[in-house]
Amino acid sequence: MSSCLFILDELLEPLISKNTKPVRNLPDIIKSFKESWTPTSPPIITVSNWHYVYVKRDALWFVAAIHYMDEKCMNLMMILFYLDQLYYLLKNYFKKELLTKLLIIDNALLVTELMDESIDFGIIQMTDPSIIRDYIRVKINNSIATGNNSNDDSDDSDTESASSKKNAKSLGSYMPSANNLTNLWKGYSTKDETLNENVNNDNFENNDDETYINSHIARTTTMAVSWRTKGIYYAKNEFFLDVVESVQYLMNFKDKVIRRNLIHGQIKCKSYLSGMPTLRIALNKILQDDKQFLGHAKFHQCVSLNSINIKDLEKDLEGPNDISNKNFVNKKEIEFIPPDGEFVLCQYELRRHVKDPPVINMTSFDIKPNFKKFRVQISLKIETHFKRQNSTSLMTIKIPLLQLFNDYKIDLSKQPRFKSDVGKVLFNISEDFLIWEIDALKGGHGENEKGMVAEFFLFNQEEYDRLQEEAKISMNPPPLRNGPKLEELYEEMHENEDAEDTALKMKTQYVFMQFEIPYSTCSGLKVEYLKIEEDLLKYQSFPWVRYKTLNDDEYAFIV
Amino acid sequence: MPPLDKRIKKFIKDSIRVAPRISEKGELGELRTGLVSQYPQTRKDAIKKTIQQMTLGKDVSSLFPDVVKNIATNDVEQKKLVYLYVMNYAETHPELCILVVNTFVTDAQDPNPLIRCMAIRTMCMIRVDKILEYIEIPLRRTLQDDNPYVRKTAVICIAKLFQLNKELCVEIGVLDDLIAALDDSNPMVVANATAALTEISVMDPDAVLLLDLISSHVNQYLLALNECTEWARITILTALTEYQAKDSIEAQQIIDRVTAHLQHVNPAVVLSTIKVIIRNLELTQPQSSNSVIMKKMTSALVSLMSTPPELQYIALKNIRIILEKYPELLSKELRIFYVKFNDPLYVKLEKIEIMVRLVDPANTKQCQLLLSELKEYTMEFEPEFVSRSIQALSQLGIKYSHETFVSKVLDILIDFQERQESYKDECCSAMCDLLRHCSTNDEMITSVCAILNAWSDPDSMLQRDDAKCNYIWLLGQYPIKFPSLTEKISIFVDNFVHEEPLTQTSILMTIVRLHSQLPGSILQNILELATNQTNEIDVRDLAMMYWRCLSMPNVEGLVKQLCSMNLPQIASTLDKLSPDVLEKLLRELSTISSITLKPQVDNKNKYAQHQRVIRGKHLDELKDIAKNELAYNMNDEVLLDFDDNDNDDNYSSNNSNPIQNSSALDDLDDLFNFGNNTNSNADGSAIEQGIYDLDIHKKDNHDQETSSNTQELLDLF
Repeated sequence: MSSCLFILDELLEPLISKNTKPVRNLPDIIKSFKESWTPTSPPIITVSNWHYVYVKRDALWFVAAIHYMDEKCMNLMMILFYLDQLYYLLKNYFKKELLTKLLIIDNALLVTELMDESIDFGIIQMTDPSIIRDYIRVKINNSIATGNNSNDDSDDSDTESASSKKNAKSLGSYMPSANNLTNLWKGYSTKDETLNENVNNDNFENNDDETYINSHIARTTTMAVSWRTKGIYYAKNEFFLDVVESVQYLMNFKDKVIRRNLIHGQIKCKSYLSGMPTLRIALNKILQDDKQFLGHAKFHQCVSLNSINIKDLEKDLEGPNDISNKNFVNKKEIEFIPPDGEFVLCQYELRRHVKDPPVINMTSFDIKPNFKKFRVQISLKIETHFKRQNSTSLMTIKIPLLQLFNDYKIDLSKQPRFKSDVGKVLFNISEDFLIWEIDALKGGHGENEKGMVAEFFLFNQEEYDRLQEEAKISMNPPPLRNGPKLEELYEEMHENEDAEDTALKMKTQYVFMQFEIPYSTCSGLKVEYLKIEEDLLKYQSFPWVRYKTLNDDEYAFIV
Repeated sequence: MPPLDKRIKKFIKDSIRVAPRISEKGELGELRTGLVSQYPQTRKDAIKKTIQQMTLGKDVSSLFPDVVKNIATNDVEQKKLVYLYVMNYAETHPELCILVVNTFVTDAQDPNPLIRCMAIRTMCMIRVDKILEYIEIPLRRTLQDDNPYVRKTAVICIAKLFQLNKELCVEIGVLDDLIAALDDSNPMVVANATAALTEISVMDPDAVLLLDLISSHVNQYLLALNECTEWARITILTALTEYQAKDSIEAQQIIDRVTAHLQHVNPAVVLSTIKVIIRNLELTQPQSSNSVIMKKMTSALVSLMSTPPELQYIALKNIRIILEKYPELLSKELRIFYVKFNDPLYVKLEKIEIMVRLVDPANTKQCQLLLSELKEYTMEFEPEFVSRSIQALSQLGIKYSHETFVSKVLDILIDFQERQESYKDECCSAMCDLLRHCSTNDEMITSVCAILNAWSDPDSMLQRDDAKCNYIWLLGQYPIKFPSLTEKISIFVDNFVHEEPLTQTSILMTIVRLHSQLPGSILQNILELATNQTNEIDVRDLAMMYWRCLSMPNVEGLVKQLCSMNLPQIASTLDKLSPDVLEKLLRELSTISSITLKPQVDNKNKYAQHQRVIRGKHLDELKDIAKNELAYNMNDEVLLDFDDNDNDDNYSSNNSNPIQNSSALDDLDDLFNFGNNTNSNADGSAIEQGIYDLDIHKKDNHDQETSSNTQELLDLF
């Protein structure tokens, strides 16, 4: 297992070096990594006595170094997944979308502490952000670099209230509600320690509480339900469940070969529930015994894998000797105690039949040159294949132009013209593509067809010569031009480009589509019901269920 | 602006504070006064600043005595900071550590379990004998703690202690406590104890009898498996892999218990589960439920492909090994491995590797699909990816083995090389491979030779050694198909001195073979060049031998006999692992061996004790350590040198060893395991082919040489 961990910046300089085993000369170890890394290296590099395992996330590198003597007990998958989880842990902890170099430097202490808590002597302990939170005593430092001025207050107060809420939460079940106010105050004060204020007395009182609470939280990780602390309290009990499906579709438009047609689904949950609730969810796919779904679904650890499995086995064996468990068979629902906060309940992957039309289909794509008129037209048509009552909330289609610019001599001094049935078309001149933006596109089953046409002018040598000639003879100044000078912009953008490079890039031209269709799932997955039960507190709760279909990274037509 | 009450609060807080602040700069002097200040607030600030400087890499060790004074506090955060500091600098101030020991010991009895953990964890990380002297009592106490969180930490501390000071560990007998912890009621403690034992057994295989312990605790493991965190599950599953089930019933039982984990979100849990199942699957009686398990393994492997690319890479490498054992496992899942446009290069290459192995030659439709998919890949822009796709095309063609299919592949290749300026190397090798598979198809031979004949300057068009070698072989094999034969060969002869060994051998052999069709001067020329101008012993020997043969009477018959051997038809260009290597690799899934495809060596050398405990300042000992280290390094070098030489010898006689940068032992291992493998890849076969052509007896000699070498090596060790 790993001997040391590093977080590096984009130049491969170490930001954090941490040894999980007593190893000397950390800087030297990471130096040889820097020397031997190349952009095409696989995620495992071996240099003399050290194996380096790394992942790159947001311009930061998470590297684990393992001495070759330890390679016998090193589980690569585990180390890589740990690094991946460490990244999510940090992200979750800082509540930031992106981790940056500055953030890590400012919070070096916190990061080392998180590593300390999550890995001990190379043996991974836990990575669940909501649990680990209880063990960490260092506070987040949002901005040392920018200085703690009062402008930051609004930002700070957010995290402050979050942390105070958290504190209140963990205290909630132990303190009478009248104490809530003092708790809130304590929440503030612990938070503010970073800002260097505290009253001594308060501190003392706080510590007493801490010892009390700690003795009980320290037990959570080691209990059977290791993912949820006891004594969570929310004033309003809500549970959000999002079914998000992303469709992967790749088609070679020229020879009409469909290369991919898959659905990647996720059931994401956000739980804000008090106590130890038990949830029961019934999915239509499980009720209907969808073999493909059951075979390709992965569940969060809170879902008791055994119960699902017993059912599976029975179905497969259909043994008559399992009569005792018959009631299990009838109970086709997922039952679990959710962790607190955000988590992914289930991931699944479904294959679609090749002939199933994609959610958004491209029906035609043409490049038509008209040499008589010195014009070239790109036309594109799409149609929708989803429920008529739904519509996309956001949709863009990216049309590549590199090929066009290479094949024809386009005269950009004449404004290109765009026309579309819905939405608008934009021209990205620096990266050679058109973007067709459509706000809302109605669903349908092939009858809702929309198109767009873009027209570029070809370079006309004769006309150019004539104009040059005229300009020479005539006394009139050249006619004024309105609008941006696209040809100059284009030249400027493309002067540094390598001819070979473009030739390489040109080989595969993808029409990418991006879309979001709310309220529908491509696979037809539905949550039949969602029950929340908490035996002790018996509160009223609010479950929310939403559906959404998205495009996968690879939703494209090769033209 | 924040609301009024907030501002007031802030104002009050700011004005209440009397304790002086530490400035942003944090000079050493200021920090020192801060650390001994009467105000706790100031002291804490000063500690924070000190630690900050420490993490930035500044040397603040001179503050050691002052920082240590602050260790007795109720503030958990401050305590942690001081611990961090102590851990970092204890080695530079071993004498002062005695000051901290007492606090450590008292902290190990603190009512707060977090502090108890912290104390024992820190104590075991400090490489100073004064601290270690006091460790027994707190360690014992925490091992018996009633809080499982403390116990699970203490268990790991034993492994740490073992690494620092093995003798002490044995002396105070904590290893027995560790073994007793395997019976703990808490699954986390069991898991961590197992992990600690594994670590210890890696350091010193004789210290604990890991295998026996695992076998006697299988039931505890199976019970704990469902009740602990994902990471602990991996530890337990790994331990279960080591266990050899007694009979088929027990094996089946283990499989049933772990199967549920195939659906876990954590890919490492999934892979470890697969490892356990594969280990036990052979022992079970084949029955209907096996197919169920197979199905589940299939979907588990498929699910590994929806992870981030780095994890996919590991998954693919392991799938490659698993496929070798159970080729039918994923035969219906070809689509999953199709390359995505945004995959990193290393994933793309592995995916191709899997796909050509996966495809079932009996399934025509699938082969067609893969063929068109590979054809698409040749249009991509990454050079490595394209050249691997070309190679894959020929591998697929040979695997499917039907002539019409092969000619289809050939058409794609011909079409491709007409459109492309580069990739001549790959095309040439691929086409020659295909011809060696269908050596009777005249049509294919004609078309390939026509294309290759049209290349005006093959020597500069081809870059790689093996491609050139293949090209020259083709010249020798079908001389009639090349109208400009003499011209082509003389180009190569002119460059003979600059060619690499494979090409040189190939040129020599081809010319001897065709000597009757070529002008005599070329033969004379090449024999002179090969005997005088090359550094390759093999080439020189070969040339000498040919020369002697040619100067004997009745040359024609002899040379004909030497050269007329036909190469055997290639049945597959995919390299396979030998059965015992495969068995070993299956046991070592997800370790480094799955990446390098070399099983680990049973390392008889004891774990090199890199860790030394620092005992005050004894110059002599330091000297000793340095001396030892030097000697150790020297040894290493000698080993390496010796090994290199040997490998070189071997390399030239039998080219199947891919020499990579690896440790000396790895290389040796390589020798033992792969040494006698007859190779099927094209590179090696060229040399082999030379040897075949030469004489069968000579080949035997070589083999004997190799084996005597190996024998010598074995004797040495």
